[in-house]
Amino acid sequence: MRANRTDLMQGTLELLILKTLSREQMHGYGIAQRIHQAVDDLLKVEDGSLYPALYRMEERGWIASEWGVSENNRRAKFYKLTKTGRKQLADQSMNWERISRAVMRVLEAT
Amino acid sequence: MKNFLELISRSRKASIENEVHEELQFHIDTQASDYTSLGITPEESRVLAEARFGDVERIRSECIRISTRNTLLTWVLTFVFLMSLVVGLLVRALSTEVNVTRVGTVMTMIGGLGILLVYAKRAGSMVFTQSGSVRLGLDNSPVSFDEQGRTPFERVKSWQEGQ
Repeated sequence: MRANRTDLMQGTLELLILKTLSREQMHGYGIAQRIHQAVDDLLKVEDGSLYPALYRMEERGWIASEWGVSENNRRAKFYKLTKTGRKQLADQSMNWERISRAVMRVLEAT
Repeated sequence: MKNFLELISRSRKASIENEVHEELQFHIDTQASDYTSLGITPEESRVLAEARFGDVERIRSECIRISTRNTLLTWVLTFVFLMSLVVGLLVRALSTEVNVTRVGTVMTMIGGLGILLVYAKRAGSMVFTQSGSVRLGLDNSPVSFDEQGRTPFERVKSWQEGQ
């Protein structure tokens, strides 16, 4: 299984983060764990690569952050989806579906 | 003025560096702690957590670069709008010409609105409700491995294959 893992396509990580944060606010470690559980090791997501993506998304106004306290009583930075982020999630999800449908059509036709 | 801005910029950068360091360290420490709770030695846990995280230095530099870029833009905008506000107010106070006073009024309005916009954008990105999941919940808990080192997904898969 591990040998067949696929690297994430450009922009896919952002979509995964947006979707993960659409349910609740989380810190980076929580986001990483949630994504690992969801993708079931089919995609290779290096934990550290989440952070530059989170910072870029915050810069664009898709997510907002605030320092809080985690369950192990340590200061942690929590991220939350903004209104712009919700719109971005809807747009990117639609775009992803359109692309995957198109690619599937080509694969099935040839 | 230049030295003052440089001092603020340097102090802000140091603060960003500390925050990035703290955030990344929290991730690695929590991961290591989760590995330790699975029975792995603390030393091995640390090595595994760092390996799983990736190139810490590269990621740290990238995060700092992105944060600094964002902060610099905010500072420049605030400075420009503040200057517009101050100059506008001075022009309004000192000028006796109606047309010049109007220019002052426009500059004051641009400066004031600009500062409000910059503040609203920053505040908008900081607004947070503390309800719900500020703490690590069960949903965020690490993958639990069984005695054979399998994740829950691998256990479900092997169960399905056995059906």
